[in-house]
Parts: sequence; C-alpha cells; structure tokens
Amino acid sequence: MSNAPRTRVAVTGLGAISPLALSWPETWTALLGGKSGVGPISRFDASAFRSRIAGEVRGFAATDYVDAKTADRLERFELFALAAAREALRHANLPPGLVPPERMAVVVGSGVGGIGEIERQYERLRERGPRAISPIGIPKLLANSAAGQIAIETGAQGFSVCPVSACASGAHALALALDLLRAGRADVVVAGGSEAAITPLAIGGFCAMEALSLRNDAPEAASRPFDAGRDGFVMAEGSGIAVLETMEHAAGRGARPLAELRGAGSSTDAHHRTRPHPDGRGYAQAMTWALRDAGISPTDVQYVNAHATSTPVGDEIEALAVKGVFGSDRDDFLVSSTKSMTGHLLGASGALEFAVVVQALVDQVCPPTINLERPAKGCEGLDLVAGASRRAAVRNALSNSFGFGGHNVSLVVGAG
Amino acid sequence: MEETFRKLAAILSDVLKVPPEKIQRESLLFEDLKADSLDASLIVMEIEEHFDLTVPERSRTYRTVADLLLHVDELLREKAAGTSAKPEPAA
Repeated sequence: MSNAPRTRVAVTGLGAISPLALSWPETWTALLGGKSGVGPISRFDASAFRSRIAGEVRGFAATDYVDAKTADRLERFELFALAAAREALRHANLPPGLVPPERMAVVVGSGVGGIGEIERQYERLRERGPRAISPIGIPKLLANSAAGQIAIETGAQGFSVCPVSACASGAHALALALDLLRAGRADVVVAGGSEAAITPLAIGGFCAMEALSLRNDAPEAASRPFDAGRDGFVMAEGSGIAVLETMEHAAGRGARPLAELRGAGSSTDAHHRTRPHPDGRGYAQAMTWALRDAGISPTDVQYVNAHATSTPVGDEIEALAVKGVFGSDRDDFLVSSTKSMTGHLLGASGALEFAVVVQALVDQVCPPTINLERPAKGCEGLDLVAGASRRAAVRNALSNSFGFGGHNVSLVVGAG
Repeated sequence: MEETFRKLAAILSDVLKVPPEKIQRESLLFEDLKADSLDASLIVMEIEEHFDLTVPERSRTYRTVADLLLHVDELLREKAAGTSAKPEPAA
C-alpha cells in the first residue's frame, strides 16, 4: 500500500422506511424508545402458516411518492428504496443537478428482490397460461430494479449495481460504495438496501427452514436476540439508504458529515449454506478486517450493532465472535440488536443498521435490545443494552451483517 | 363498435392511469396518453383477457386509440366468424 493519504468517506444523508416509521428520524426515535414494529401479518391471509407475525411497513401509500401509474409499475421494495433515497438525498442537501451525473453511483442491494411479483406472475401462468404473464413482471422482479429506479430519478450515470448476498446485501452495498469512493470512481454514492418479502412464498419458505419465530400470540415479544427464550427471527420489510461522498466533495460543497465510514471487512464462512461456522471464525474475520481497514483497534470501538436475528444458532455464535474480537466484561463497550424492535429486514437490515450506528455516534446514545429477559448461555459477558437505550461516549461503532451463504460484512463508522 | 370503444377506453384508463374522459378515438397513445413500449404490451395483454381474444402480432404498434380500436374490432369480427386462431390453452 502506498503512503499517500487514503480518501476518506463521509456519510452525509440517511433515509429509511421501516416497520417503525416512514422516515429515518421517526424510526430512530422509536428505536430509542424501545418500540416494537412487529404485529400480525396483514399483507396476506397467513392463517395457514406456522409463523403469522412480521414487521410490516404500515401506512405506506405509494402515491404519496409517485404518480398512480409509476406506483402500479414499481414493486414494493423499489418504492421503499425510492422513498428512502429521496429522504437521504434531502438530508444530505443534494438537490438534483449538483453532482455531475457520471460522478454519481448507486449501489442498492436486496436479498430476494421482487419475490412477491414472482408469485403473482407464476399464479397467472398456472391459472391462465403464458399469454397472461405481464410484461411488467420481469422489470418488477429483478433485484436490481431499485438501484435502477433510483438512478432514473436522480440521473446518476456512474457505476450502479445491486449486491445480492442474502441478509448481508445492504451492508455489502455500503462496503462496495466505500471502495468506489476510495478508488476515485465516484464522488457521491447512494447506497443501501431494500426488501419487501412478507409474502406467502417467503414466509412459507423460511417457516419450512424452521427459521421464524412462532410466538404468534405475542408479536411484540417475538424478536428477542440473545435471550434464552428466542425461537427464530421475525420477518420484516423496509429500506435503509445512505448518501456517501468523499470528504473532499462534502467539504467542497460545505456539507457537514454526520460520520465517517472508516472501514469495511467482508469475509466468507465457506462452511454451510445456512449455518454459520460454529466457532464464528467468519464473523470474527469480518470484524477484524473492518477494524484493520479503519486503522483502529478493538478498544477504540464503544458500540456494536449486532446482526443477531433472534435465531437459536446465530446469536450465540456472534456473541462468541464479538467477545473474541473485542474482549469480555469491558465497561465501555455496548452491544445491541435493533432487530429486537424492527424484526429482520433481510437484505435491507445491514443498511438500516448502518443508519443506527451513524446516529448512535451523532447522538451519543445506543438503542436497546428489547425482549432480553435472560441472556442465553454463551451471550453472557457482554453489555447487551437490555430494555432501554443508553447514553454513551461513542467514538467508533461497528455494524455486523451476516447472510445465508456464509457472507459476512462488518462496517466501522467514526465521528466525522 | 361503441361498446368495444367503451371497453377499450376502460382498459386504457386502468393501464395508463388516465381519466376515462381523456381517452378519445383520436388520442395519440404515446404522446397524449404517455404510453411506453411496456405499457403497449400490457395493453395488448389486457385486451386479450377482457375480450377473450388472441392478438396474433403482439409487437404491432398503434398510433392512435382508433388504430387500436379498429384492430380489436377486426379481431372480434374474425372471432365471431370463427376464423381467428383459438386462444392457447392454459398451461
């Protein structure tokens, strides 16, 4: 590596559509208040399904954002992404036309893209034959359509892509955006993730894997990362989008960074399609590489937003890996899982939780892990911010995201 | 043909999200009603479904609502005369 100073990357805008609210500031307030966004599934008749609860985005009317025809043509995850991207760009005070189109990139991931549209069109095929398949079907189901739509709206003509790595997709988008900015291939990147998979096929599929919580009678208590009584994750939907730009670009236009994206680490378990490696080596590797990339040591980090989804296997292995990297029983080190409140937004989770670590730095407060009554065996020795948010001096924070397939991403942010 | 026009206008209104009163025979599909190529394919699909027809050339382009109406009318006449291709069976 050369000794030339490396390009530093600023986070200048955040946007979100979540089960808690239709904007990032309201989502953040709800997170700090320990509110749950989980309830009974209303998007389809889930009575025949074993898991009948989810973190649904409520009150979202597509026509609040786009005209009626566009609302009809775009898939739900695209609309979420578009709404969150607009909010993030507004927050960054980046009106259209300010950035040369070829210097603006879009990296927006999704785990399963337009799975709902796949189901709708397949039903038409089965019931009415191939001529009944809509020409809008393919554009709606493509996972990259959210990235493409944001580019159409913003006029961004630089690099654009949709990373697909299951539940690490959104975090991969941010890691990739960091690389693009460091490599000088863009000045501004709209980056994040979007997901809308509360559909029969997705719920049924995750049920078949025994991955979802069956706590149907107590939806708000169902997502309980690190708790001894956890029984699976709660499906959720939404989008998180961030505006990233080089520090130089931000300074040049007088924008004040919310935080700095200091480093990213991406590793792969190369072990099993859905189970993490039992000793957490892939998780630890991603965190270690992210710290090294950021040029900081473990003791420089005061807060980790865990991937912890509330599954029996994953949380415990993550706790093991976090302790391995950061040490146990530190009194200045907090770990929480905001999935306890939002549920699991799959490919959007890493992007929404990136907003969490950025805002934790800005506001010097860490959101809680709710529903944590009795830490599970293996999860002791960490301050998991049980129950209520906590004021904390946070100089650096790390967010973990791990996806089926063994894809691991850790992102490190520091005070801008 | 008036009944066919009314049905067609309803389809166009629904697909293109344009108020029915804006759909006239002389309306230009692409310019006035803001259709794009995907919309055109969607319109043909809806026509097949609502009129129980098979449109042989799906890629055919129409300039005005009247062009489309004439073609639908022609296909309906052929169908009534029993000369049109049978719709493909469901899969």
